[in-house]
Amino acid sequence: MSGVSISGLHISQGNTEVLTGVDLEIEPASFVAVLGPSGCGKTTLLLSIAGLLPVTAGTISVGGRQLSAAGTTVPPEKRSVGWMPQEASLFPHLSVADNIGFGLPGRRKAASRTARVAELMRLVGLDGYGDRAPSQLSGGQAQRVALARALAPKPDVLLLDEPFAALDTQLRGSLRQEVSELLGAQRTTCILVTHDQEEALTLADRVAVMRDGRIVHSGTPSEVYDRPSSRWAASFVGDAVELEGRWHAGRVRCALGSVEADAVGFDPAEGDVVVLVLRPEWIVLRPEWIAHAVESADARVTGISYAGHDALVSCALSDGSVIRARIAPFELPALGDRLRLAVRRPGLAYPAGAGK
Amino acid sequence: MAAERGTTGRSAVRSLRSAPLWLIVTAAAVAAIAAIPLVYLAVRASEAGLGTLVETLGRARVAQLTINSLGLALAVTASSLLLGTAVAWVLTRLRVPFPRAWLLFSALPLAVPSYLASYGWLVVSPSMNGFFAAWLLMTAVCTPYVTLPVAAALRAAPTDMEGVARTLGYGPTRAFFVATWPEVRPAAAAGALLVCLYTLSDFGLVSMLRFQTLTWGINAAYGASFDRNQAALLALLLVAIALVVVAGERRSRKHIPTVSARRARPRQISKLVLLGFLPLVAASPIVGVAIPLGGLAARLLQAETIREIDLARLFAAIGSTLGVAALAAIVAVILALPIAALAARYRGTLATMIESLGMVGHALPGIVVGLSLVFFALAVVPSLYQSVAVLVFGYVVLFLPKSIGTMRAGISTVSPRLATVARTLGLTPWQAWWRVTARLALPSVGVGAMLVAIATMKELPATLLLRPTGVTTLATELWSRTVIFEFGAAAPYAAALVLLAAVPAVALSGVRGLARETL
Repeated sequence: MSGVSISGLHISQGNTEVLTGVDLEIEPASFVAVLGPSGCGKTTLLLSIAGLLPVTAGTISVGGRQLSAAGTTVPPEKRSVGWMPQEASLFPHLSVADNIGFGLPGRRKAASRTARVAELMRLVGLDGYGDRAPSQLSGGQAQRVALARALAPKPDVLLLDEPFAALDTQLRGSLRQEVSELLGAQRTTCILVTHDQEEALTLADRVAVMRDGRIVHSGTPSEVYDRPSSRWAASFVGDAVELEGRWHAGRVRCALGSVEADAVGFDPAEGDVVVLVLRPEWIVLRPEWIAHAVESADARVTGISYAGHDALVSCALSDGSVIRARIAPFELPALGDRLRLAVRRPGLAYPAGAGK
Repeated sequence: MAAERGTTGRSAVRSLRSAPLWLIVTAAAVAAIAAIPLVYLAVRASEAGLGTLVETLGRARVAQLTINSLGLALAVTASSLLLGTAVAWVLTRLRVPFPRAWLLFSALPLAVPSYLASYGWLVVSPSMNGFFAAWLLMTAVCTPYVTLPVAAALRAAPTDMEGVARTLGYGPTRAFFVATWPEVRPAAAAGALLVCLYTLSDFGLVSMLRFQTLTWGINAAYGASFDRNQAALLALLLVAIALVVVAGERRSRKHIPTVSARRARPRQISKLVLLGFLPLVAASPIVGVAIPLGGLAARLLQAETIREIDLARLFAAIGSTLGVAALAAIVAVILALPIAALAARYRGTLATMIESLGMVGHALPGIVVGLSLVFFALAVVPSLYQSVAVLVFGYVVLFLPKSIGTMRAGISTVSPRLATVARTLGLTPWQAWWRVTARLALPSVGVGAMLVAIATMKELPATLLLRPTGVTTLATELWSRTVIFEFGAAAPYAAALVLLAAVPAVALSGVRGLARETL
């Protein structure tokens, strides 16, 4: 059980800078998800923590011990950092038991070793699979073996590189749940890398959002989702509705009316143009949602996308902009209905322009 | 490597029972024809009788030739395996500037026939001879057979596994051997066995360097025409050894895995260390290509050489070389077609047997095919003895595998569903085959023909035994002048051979193709 401390991390490959100053503090026994689009450098970050890539500048320490700095890299085999790669990457010429016991000291048949292997097989629910070849396993089983193999030598830190990406949706959900419970009981420090927002939010204690080689926001899942640090982070972490408006005394005047909002990361002056960002589930259709008084209607329904557990209603506002509201799928409006909309909680205001 | 079965979807391959009878019969007939040299050699050797066989094999001379052949083959195999694996590792795992150019460079020895390399070296150092010289040059010439498949396997091997082993406490060397080597081993074994086969079959290089192996012994025994039984028995012995090697190669090839995950990221290393590695990579092409071609060029450009060029003779040799190459290519492609079509579309014991028989030339040393066809022509069709027909037939047997391999790959990439669609649009099976499958597979036919033509131009031992009196090719002219140390007179033929055979081989295939099609 050790914390991980990464500061000022730069990594260049050839002439391109893949990581451009990553700072990240990870508490012992916590579960951190690094969330970012593909190509943002998150796998590079993971490989450098494992010691598989040298760093150009900055440091990586685990449990207070410095493992990587410019010019010095403690080799992977001496770091006590476990790694579960994207594909299970089981050794195809070894049985399941030998794969799990691969990193354990002692000879193949040593009693201490077989006991630990049996314990791990029970832990990941593969009791009795010891003699199977990796090619005889399903995708989910292979991932369990890879997890057991990584956990076997009791690493200080466990790295998970999109471990569920290759599985089908249903299996992904159940295995994710199982792994999260299992790892919680192990009290190992875990770093998960993923581009799947839901995966990061449901599994992790803390989420670090990564973009173009740096961490742009880090916090608890609800902080990252409810108060993202930028417009880009807001739309990457979840669905976002954006409306341009003017700032007036803590509210944004826009096509939706005057909406209470928090300015994130800047201090707008009266009358400044800002962008109001809302989550679709923050928008509610008001109780009197079928607006018989046509003149005062806020919006007109232009599309309904029904997903079973909820529904997304697209509404055109008076100025032509379209916003989406996520609602429980009861008594759905019909296309063309005129509605009144309200916002459940204060929205978020970001500086307008300047890209995302 | 021969065309992989993996390129065919499972649905595209049907049981042999659904194959049209005429296709099976034609393919079987071609396979039977291709087997003539091997079968006739066995017949001829058995005529000599068991007593002669035992007596011949017991001779000290034969034992010495066998030991020389096996010793050279083992030594070259071991050194090529080591060097080729090391080169492949450098080219795939370290960040080398211009990696593709380096790979092409390291593959170049494949384009140059081995006897041309020994000729070039003899020009530079006429006193070269014996085991060490043969071992050095043969290693340089053969190393790409290991380098290219191992480099491909290293690139395909998931590096994640090596990383996993590292995070589980294994040092870099142990991690490579425990995680990556098992993925690479089948490719390395297949390459090494090919090296072994080519060293056993080689005639020109060892003879020029006066190292007496079985191939040399066969030619010598045949030349001393009073003892043709001995030539036949030596040939049979050589074929037996070669078949064992080929069987091993086939077996190892089956285990080549086709996993592919994240590509290996070449590691950045300091320029100084890289400079230390580059001689390793350059060794084989420098020894096998650069020095011989340098020697050739120097000799060619000497005033004396240029003055003495017999243009009429040179053009006659070029003409007959191109002529027999074209004939061999056309006949080989026509004969390969039924076998390739059968092997691409149907599975079954019979289909496999037919294909294996068609590929038998792969295992037969050129000198063996030459010798066997001499006997065959004399005994069965004396009117054709020393005719172009028998010579071309020898080439076809030897190089049929090249055209079968490329054409089968070409045909199996054409989805049978396309032909089915054509059928639903009102075409007969023949029309569908001709207008769809044949059209799409046409490029592979062209490539197959080119490969046969190039191989024919480079062929030496069978040509020496089978050519009609008075017909000379570039290879035989180069040979007959080199063995009497007329290096200057040989130079124009060597240069013409490089231009006609080696250059098109590189141009035709590119790097990867050169590896795949030559293997």
